[in-house]
Amino acid sequence: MVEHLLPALQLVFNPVNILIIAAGLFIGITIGAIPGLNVPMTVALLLPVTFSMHPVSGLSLLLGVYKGGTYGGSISAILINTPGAPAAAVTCLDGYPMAQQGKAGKALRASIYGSVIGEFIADLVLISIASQVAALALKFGPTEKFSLVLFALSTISVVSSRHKLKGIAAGLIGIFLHVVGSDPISGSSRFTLGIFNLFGGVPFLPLLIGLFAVSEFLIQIERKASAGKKDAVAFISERREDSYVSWKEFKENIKTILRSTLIGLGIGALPGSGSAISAFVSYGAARNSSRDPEKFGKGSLEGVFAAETGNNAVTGGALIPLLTLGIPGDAITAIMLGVFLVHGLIPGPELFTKSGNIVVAVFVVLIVANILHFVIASLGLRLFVRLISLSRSILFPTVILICVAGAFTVNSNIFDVYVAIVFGALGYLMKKFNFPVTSLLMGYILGPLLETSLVQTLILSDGSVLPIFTRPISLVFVLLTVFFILWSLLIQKKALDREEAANGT
Amino acid sequence: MKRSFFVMLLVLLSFGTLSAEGQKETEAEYPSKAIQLIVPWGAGGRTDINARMFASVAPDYLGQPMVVINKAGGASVIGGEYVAKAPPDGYTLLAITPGTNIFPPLFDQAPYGPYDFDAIGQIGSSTMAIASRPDRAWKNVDELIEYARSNPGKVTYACVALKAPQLGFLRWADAAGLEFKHVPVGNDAEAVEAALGGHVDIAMTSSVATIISHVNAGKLNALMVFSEKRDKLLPDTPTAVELGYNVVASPYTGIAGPKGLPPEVLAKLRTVFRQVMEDKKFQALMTKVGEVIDPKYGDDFYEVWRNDFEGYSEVIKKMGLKQ
Amino acid sequence: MTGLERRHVIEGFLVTLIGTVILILIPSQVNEIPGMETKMSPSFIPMLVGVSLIAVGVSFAVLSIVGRNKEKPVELEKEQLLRAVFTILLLVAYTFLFSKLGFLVTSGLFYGIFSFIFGARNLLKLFAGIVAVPVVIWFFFEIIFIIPLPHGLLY
Repeated sequence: MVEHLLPALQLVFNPVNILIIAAGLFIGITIGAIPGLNVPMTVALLLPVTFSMHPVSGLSLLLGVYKGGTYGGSISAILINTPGAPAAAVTCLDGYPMAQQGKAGKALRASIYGSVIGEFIADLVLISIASQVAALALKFGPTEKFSLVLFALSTISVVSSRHKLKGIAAGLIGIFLHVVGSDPISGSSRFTLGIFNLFGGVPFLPLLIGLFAVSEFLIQIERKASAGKKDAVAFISERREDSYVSWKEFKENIKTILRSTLIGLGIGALPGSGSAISAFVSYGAARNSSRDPEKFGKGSLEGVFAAETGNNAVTGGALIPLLTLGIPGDAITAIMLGVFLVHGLIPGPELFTKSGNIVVAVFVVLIVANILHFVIASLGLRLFVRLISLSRSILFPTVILICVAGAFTVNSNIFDVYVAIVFGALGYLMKKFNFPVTSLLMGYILGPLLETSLVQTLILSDGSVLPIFTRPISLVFVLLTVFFILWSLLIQKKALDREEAANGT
Repeated sequence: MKRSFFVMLLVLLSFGTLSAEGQKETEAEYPSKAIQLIVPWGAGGRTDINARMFASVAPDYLGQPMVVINKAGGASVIGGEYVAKAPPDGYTLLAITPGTNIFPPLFDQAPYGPYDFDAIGQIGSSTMAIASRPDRAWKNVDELIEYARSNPGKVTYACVALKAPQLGFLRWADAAGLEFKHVPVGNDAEAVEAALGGHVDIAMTSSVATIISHVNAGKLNALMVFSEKRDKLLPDTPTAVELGYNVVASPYTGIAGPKGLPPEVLAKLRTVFRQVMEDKKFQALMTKVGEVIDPKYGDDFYEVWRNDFEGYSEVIKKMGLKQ
Repeated sequence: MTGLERRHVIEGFLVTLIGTVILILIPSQVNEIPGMETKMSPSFIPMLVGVSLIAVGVSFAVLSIVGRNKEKPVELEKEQLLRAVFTILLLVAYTFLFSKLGFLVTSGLFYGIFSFIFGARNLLKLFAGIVAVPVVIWFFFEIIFIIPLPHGLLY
């Protein structure tokens, strides 16, 4: 590796390349922050642009977009309760309440620090022990994946704090929504109501746009138009400590950051999972081990750190199976695989021996991108904060226009826009009746993993569920699941007792 | 205020150019306006890349731009239906793969049939292959056949269900009189992952590209390919045909239009297609993205569909996969 | 039964209803492909979801009746709900017209409507938004991303 360092540095450190990384980050953050525009689409559209570039430059651009886009979703999540990317859905839970308390600056800064640190550590792991992590990831067969999904699902009951049953109901509806379409396992069509548009399932991005962006629009429009002059989206506290993360607060959250980084790294390294799941599990884990879990969902700084670190650490983790095994972990890395192939680099065991210079250059790019990410995001922050002092009558109509256009352009299909509206109505009702929309999203994302891994397990074991409890890694996750649920019930009981004591009854 | 005026002007200008375009549409010789190439899958996939490469060169011979539009959804049926039911005027074309015109009609999951399209040409095809970890009881396909014969239903293979990989595999297993256990996975990468991790015995993938690196590194043994001829990347791996099984299945990517294109339009498109395939720039682009050009023109391409549809129909009938 | 309890019972009932509908629909909506042996019927997960939803809904209602549910619901105001329903109808109309008449024209119109509902009364600003916002979005998608938006009759 050392012998490749010098040529790699030469490949990366030229003004054009640094500019390309910065451009990628900028594009990514912008796309990520705008609900209705999505990162996989952007990466796909930039792909042809990279054909004519040097492979390192091409990868720099896409890695920048990938990192920036994963982070960018948190900006709109915090400011207008509308995640720009699926991974930021969890960030809404505490980021938006913080913004409503005037602490938008603090939440946005926490999201930058969490993202950058999570990314940085994940990148270091990728650079130093990628092949070992990949070997471990391969040990996850269908059985292990099934119990991991169980574990992730158990966090639904943790995350939906006080309305556990409602959270579970929402999660179940999410799982059901994944069922719609033709089943990839047995080919049977399910719940398509004879609509060909539904044969491929309920389209994901329109669902996301509807559930979060359109429903928030409906909530916002309820508020009577005030005749007053100032009708800003949210107020920004004048107090300095509400806009910055103090050293003390940072120190208190170091444990959360490290834990979330580990979770993100692990989940990222397993192909087929992804950043939304990681953010969700990180958040659940943080809440379960927090000193004041009641604050979660009401503007907890810890919650923002957990979600944002968790989802950005995935970007480092997901590159592990991509580079070492040639197996992409999500839609974005799948397209990145294309970039490698375009330049005659075949990711997999041979990549490191055959094109060491390129691999090391990619590593250097990752680190440089981390630093630039911090700089660009911090510079952009002031601009974004200003967005919420914008008049609601300009911002929200603009957002809904972008959402409709975005829902349409995913597949150039008008049906998808109607899907977004239907889920907007559903999301609105859910919010009104205290059903957590995030749980529904998790059910929808985890549903396919749950079903395929269970079917595969049963096929391989000739119909027995025993392997789930006898295979060591799987057993660990089963036990973790049980522990997690019991622990969260205990926390809830404590909180209720305290509340009753406080009420003096 | 100044800015908004400028913007207004822009809008008016775009209105102007648009209506002018609308007027000269009729009567002129084909093609007189931009041609839409519909990709029924999301952006960034293999079909999409192939289509974009084609669309970047075709205008040189068409004299009109070609716009790629991703119309995904409904497992590519939405895009397929859109083109099948578009007016056959040559301005709406389809980037076609078996995933659109063979498999959905095969299982009655599409509002169109496999032959509701006019074949323009095949750009390329990918080589399906089976591979195993070297620590299995077999080192090559002969040993595998022997082992599977004495252990019927024990050997597991992972691949995408009810598409080219599984149906191709079943055609071969049926011809060889063998029985395997199928483990359905979502895509080729997952099949390779399951085989690398030792969770299944065989990975069946629809493209050699997904295994080549592992084969070269000695982590997987490529056992057999399902193409007509041996693959350049795997010169030592036999084809099913060589071993005496009449199974050729190579998922294609090509260009088609709605059925009933006027003869002169179809002829023009087929000519342009051939010119693009022979274009040096196009060939260079395709080599760069790692795709092998394997052109088939006009009716030969139609024959490929017929072979596929009939071959797969037979196997699903035999396996009882359809009433 | 207090109003609060009644609402919780209704919520529980709704969840139970969704579960029941799923269970009822399974036979007609799951079309299995015969011969695909997968050790687990494609109806299994929908069935599991349906049964669990019923269980969750019933226990939610029961817990509310015995007074173990301390959740405070969000206030529901008739006027707010009407506003939401009206907005949804507007969005449907927007989508429909957007596919028929084209993106630019309809987006300008609906930006104006929505902005007005949100309280914009400054005509100059409103007009500037009507023109500028759709054009910028259009520019972004069609020119930068090269993804066509519907052009319809009027553009």
